[in-house]
Amino acid sequence: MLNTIFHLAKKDLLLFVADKRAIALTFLLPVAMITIFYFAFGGSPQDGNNPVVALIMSDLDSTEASQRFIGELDSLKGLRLDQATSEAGSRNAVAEGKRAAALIIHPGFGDSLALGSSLPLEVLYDSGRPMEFGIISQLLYAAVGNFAGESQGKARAKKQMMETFGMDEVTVEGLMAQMSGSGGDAQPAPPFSVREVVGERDNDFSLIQAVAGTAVMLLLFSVAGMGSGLLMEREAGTLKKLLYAPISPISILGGKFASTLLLSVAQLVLMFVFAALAFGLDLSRNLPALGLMIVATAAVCASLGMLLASVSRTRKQLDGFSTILILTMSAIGGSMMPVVFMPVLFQKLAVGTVNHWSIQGFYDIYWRNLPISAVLDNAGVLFGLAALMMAISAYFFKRNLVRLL
Amino acid sequence: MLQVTQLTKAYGPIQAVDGISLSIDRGACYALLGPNGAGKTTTINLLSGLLQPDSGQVSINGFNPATDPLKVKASIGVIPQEIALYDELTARQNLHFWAGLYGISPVEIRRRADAALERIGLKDRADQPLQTFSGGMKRRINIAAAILHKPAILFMDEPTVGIDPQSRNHIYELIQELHREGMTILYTTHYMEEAEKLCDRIGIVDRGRLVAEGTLRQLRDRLPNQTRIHLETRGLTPEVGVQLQAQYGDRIAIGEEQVWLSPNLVHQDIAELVRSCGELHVDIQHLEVKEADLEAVFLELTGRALRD
Repeated sequence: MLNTIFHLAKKDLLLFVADKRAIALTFLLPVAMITIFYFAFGGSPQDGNNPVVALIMSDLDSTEASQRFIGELDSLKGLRLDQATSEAGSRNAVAEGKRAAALIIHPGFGDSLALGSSLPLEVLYDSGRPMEFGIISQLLYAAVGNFAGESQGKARAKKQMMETFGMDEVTVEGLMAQMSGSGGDAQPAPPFSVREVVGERDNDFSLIQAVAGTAVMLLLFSVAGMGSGLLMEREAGTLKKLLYAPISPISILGGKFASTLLLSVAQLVLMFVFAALAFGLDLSRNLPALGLMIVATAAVCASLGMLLASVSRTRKQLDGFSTILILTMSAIGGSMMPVVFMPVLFQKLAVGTVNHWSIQGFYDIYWRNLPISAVLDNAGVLFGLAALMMAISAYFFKRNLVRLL
Repeated sequence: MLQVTQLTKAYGPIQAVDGISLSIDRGACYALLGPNGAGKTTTINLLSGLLQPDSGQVSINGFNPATDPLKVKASIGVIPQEIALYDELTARQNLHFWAGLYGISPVEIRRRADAALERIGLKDRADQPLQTFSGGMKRRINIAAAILHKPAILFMDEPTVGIDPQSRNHIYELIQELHREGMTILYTTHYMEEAEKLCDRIGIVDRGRLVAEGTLRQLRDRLPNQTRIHLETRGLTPEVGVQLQAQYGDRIAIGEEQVWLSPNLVHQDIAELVRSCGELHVDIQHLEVKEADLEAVFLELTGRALRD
């Protein structure tokens, strides 16, 4: 039976090699998608900066104090500051979706700063962009506190912060404690000792997310396409002709699985090698663990492809079904964005997706820098899911054979 | 070589195969002749073990498809109606792949594939992908792929459907050659000329039943009259055909712009039919008295034309 499976798989690989478009889609598209997702997740080949948020502002005060405050804002890392000549210009930029938020420095800013009274600052924001506004708010709190503290001493700055932002005393004191160690940096230091325990080495989180997330999602699409080869054989009559030969139906499914598995492994290897060559992903960290996760991921994806092909009656049905399933799994499972950014319910649902187990395994290797023993659980779950899906595929494939005739 | 006894298969209310019994000796070429939908392909699928019969017994080369499907499949070669090959692969790659499913050694596969390509006249195209081949050339590869493992019996399911006359003749020669070499062949067709030309024995099937069986001579001898009258017409619409059929019943058979008259028709009936055609604005283009052939046998046995 194994010989037959290899024989059938070899035929599929020959067919794959003969199809130049399939080669391009299998190997070039993932490379392009990794690149796009890497930049989309905030990665940059030039430097390792955090994502930049943009703030537009209008200085209606135009005093020496307001200019110094603008200088303070401009020095913040992670904030790009643009100036509009009028309040309407800033307002329109937010209203038209060009910026997430705008800062208006109203006349009297300099005087209020000198008197220690509430600063006439107004922030306009787009409630549809809460993440960007959250970052901007943090940066503004830090900048105002820092600037007021430097200008007029801690006690007056505290009073001014409470009046300007409507904060209670405890919150302001906490903020000021953070600011005391932050200098001109945009990121306020928390009021406790902080030491990073993961990601201490060279690898970039954005890159790992882009490679792992994209790799699994694209692999799922690829295997759905390869699985449709089974339905194409049915339409062409070759599947029926295979059934005339002295081989078991299961070996036909096995041959298709074997060829899909090999191509999936090749696709994943290419994606990781590309990430290493183009973006400097340090592959050498834990090659055995990487190999294990690649094979496990390829196996589960290939078996999902077989399952989809076995339960679908037509290629159109397969296309529709696989698109919905893969996009849903990828969205929930962390291919499109890290699961930590999702609601708690989605984080719980994520464990039901192959994307989750695979991506977390790659995080363990390249972000958390854990040994191979740490990914055994992930690989085990993936192999288990693969076995389960192949068993279901075999059942449906045999059951549906009569429809082939 | 092949024994079939009371084979039946139904799909819901449709009786696709209805008690077929037949026997094919080693080295014989047997034609299963019948119109589309008569149950020929279902019979092939039952014999080759792809379908399970509702009842009946089958023995092929001493094996039962129900209990020894893999042994039966190793004994048979099947040329399906459709050209089931991989267009992206070359002719040689296709032959190597299909032969490889039968456990033949790679060296022997190469030898047999080269010989087969030579035999079907496609050696010079061996390394070109099939997508550059004509339908007739693909049909020849289809046949070669089914005989590389030297099957004990070859099932050919309408292997000449949809190809040009020249390619069809090439395939006829190939089949006659295989037959001369002693290969046992079961050949299904709805072309009576093929059955007459290629096979020693003919079974006529209609609506899942084997209505007659024998040599061409034996089947002809079943007719009370060895001649028949054939009219070629113009203006014979389906509606007019229904009217004529209602008037003359099973004494005539209607085809596309043609009418076959039963030899049992008396002269007055013929004169009346010609008059009826005139009244229904059907022009008679040609009238011919022909020797009885399988078409006439089929008409006599079923009351319908073979190509209805």
